[in-house]
Amino acid sequence: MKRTLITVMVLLFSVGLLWAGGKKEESKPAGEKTETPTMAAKNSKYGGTLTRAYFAPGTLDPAFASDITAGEICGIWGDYLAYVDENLSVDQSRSLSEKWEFSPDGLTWTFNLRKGVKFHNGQEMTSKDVKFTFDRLTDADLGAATADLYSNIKSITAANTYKIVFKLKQQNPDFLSQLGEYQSIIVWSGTTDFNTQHIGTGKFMIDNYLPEDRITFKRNPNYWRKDAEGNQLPYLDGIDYLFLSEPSSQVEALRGGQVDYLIYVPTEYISSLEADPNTIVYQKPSNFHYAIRMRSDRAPFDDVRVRQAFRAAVDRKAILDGSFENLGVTGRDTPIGPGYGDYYLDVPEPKRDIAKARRLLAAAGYNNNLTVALTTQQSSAMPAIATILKEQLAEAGVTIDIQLVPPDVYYGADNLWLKADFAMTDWGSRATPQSYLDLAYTTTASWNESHFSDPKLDDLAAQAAVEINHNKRAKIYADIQRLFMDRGPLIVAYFTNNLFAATDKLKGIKPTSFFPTHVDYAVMYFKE
Amino acid sequence: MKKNRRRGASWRRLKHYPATLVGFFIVGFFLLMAFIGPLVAPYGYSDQNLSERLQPPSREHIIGTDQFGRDVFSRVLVGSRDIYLTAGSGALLAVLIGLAIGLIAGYFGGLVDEILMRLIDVLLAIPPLLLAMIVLFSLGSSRLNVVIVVGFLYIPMVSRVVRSVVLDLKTRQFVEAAKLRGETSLYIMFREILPSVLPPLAVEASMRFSYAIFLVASLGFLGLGVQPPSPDWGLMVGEARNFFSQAMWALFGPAGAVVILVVSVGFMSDGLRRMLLPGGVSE
Repeated sequence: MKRTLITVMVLLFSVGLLWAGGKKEESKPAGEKTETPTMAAKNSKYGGTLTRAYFAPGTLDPAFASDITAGEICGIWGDYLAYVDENLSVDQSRSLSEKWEFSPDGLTWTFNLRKGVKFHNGQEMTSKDVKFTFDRLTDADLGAATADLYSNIKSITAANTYKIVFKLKQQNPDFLSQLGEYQSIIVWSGTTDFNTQHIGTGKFMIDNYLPEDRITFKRNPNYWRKDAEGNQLPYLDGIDYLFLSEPSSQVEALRGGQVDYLIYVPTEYISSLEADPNTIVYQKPSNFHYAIRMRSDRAPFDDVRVRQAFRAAVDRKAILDGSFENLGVTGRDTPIGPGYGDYYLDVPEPKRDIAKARRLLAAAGYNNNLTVALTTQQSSAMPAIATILKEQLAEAGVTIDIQLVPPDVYYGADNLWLKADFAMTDWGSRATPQSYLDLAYTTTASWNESHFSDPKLDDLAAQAAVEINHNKRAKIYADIQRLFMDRGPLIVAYFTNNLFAATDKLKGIKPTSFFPTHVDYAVMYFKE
Repeated sequence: MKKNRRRGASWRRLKHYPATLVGFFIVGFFLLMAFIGPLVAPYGYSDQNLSERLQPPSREHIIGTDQFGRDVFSRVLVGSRDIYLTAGSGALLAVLIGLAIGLIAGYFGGLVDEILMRLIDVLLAIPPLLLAMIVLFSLGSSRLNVVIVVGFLYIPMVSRVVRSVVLDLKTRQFVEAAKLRGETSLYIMFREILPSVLPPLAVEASMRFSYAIFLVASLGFLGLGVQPPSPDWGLMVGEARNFFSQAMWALFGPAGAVVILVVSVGFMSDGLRRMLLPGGVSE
């Protein structure tokens, strides 16, 4: 009896492994899509419903959107006063404000709204709605994170129906980009319940929401944007957004034709998706990075030589190859990446120098006797990075103990990410370099996970925050990056490319350097 | 004398069961590797060669390389130490505690038996993998905790087998005789009953070992109780899963090792039963 049982268990285990490893063979039968562009005439871009798969959102209330699915959903049914485009600049043609200007002192911003933009309920969008939106986002009693983000706003006034004036407490060159944060879609001023009423001006309207299952959108027939030929957008009839959190299932669904479009595709699937004639992979450099940060207020990393030694011992290109299939750009140990154009300091990649690392460690009093735990999230590329880093640092005589923890433990009640001596944190691609400095690297930053405190950096960050002149600001950012490379608390091995994959029938995809959820669905269309 | 002859006969009989011999041989092979694996493995288990990632099997790497260019064969060999230590200690723990509980419950019977067996029932009612995950999440996932979890989970099976044997034995004349001689309960349990419990216990222990291998590999697959770059077989399968379409050998190497070892232990325990319980204690 027991032997039979064991045999059955072994068989089950093997079958389970096969299934877990590669379910691709069986995906063919479901291949025919039902809703592909049957309605579209041969030379028309109109019609079709796009199916998308990602994890479920925490909330549909824009003010409380914190996960990126919630953010993506906001961008589908809402529009922004200022739209952050694929290259992290602000695109006026996709913004609800058709013109903006600021006073010479940089403290008063005036926005002229587009006329004739209709909410989903047919009401026209006016300054009243903009004021309503931002009054809510900045309301400290509401308890949304945006109150912090917009704490620099002193007052919001509706000057007339189509003109709104923001007064700031101090200059802020990133103000426009901040208006493009995904929580900040303009909502109808008559909204009373944000969990059930989602009345925006966006390209699609929410049709049906089944929590943890799916959300479906239908086309907004009165959308205000037009394409270059003057045709009304969007092209698609609707979007079906399925909540499917397992990346391997998402990829199999794309291969099987049940899903049309994916983001954050795991790197190990890229080569096979590129080889598949029915799918296309899109890439765009982003500022997403894994910050390997050293807690610099206590031993061993309070000694700058130890931090420098660790940086000298790292081969960044090898880590990029081994953990991310070379789908990115090597880092320079600063949080500011090549996606920021002029603000990025383009210097040669630091060379690996084991002798220098050993010398620095010896000067700090360590001779093959330094052991550090590396707290690492059990997610995406991070275990692989840790595994490679361990071998590289071993050559400098440092022993790394990898401590894998689930992400919800890492960011959980114990706040491991703010406490551990040596840890790896994933930082999303933000619209401006300033947000990293203010959030994590100045002395008083609320997420200063590396406990870094350097008066010079605090001073430079404060200058950059208010410098309106682009060139002067770029110079300050260059100084900041030099400071990071010299004595900062970070190893940044690489910045990832944003990775998108779609069926070859889906056209008009514009990959972005911003959050990959921030894509323009209005211009996507199906073509056989 | 009589005993020896019986054992000799059992060994001879084994020749008729090649599966059992193969089982003993493979279990022995992996046991040997658990001791000398790092010495005979062609490469260091954590040695990376990033220019040779995901290479197919070749003369240099007979089961190919994984995503860090590590030799899968070497990792499987060295990994047998982990599996023997963890699964073996877990099974041993279960056998020791289960034996104690089974002896006490079977010998004393009555209320003691009732209480112990109901507690065992409670333990049996919880899905093993779920219990393991809850315990490891709350206690922290270390190797020691995995051993404790495995040991804990298999106590019920062991104690039930022991108890059933003891229930039968305690009505036998030699036990009655010992009681009339005025021996203590402890003496009767350990000196009179225990020797007769040992053969079925050995068979049971080998069964538990094969189950434990499986559970430890499953936990490793889920990333519980192991930290990279450990050559744990389950962890290796979990890591290789993502690269299956490019490098199936990195998955089949460790997964095959689990399957082969579990089947071999099964064959071995089958043989143990034939040898030690020639009358055939049916399950």
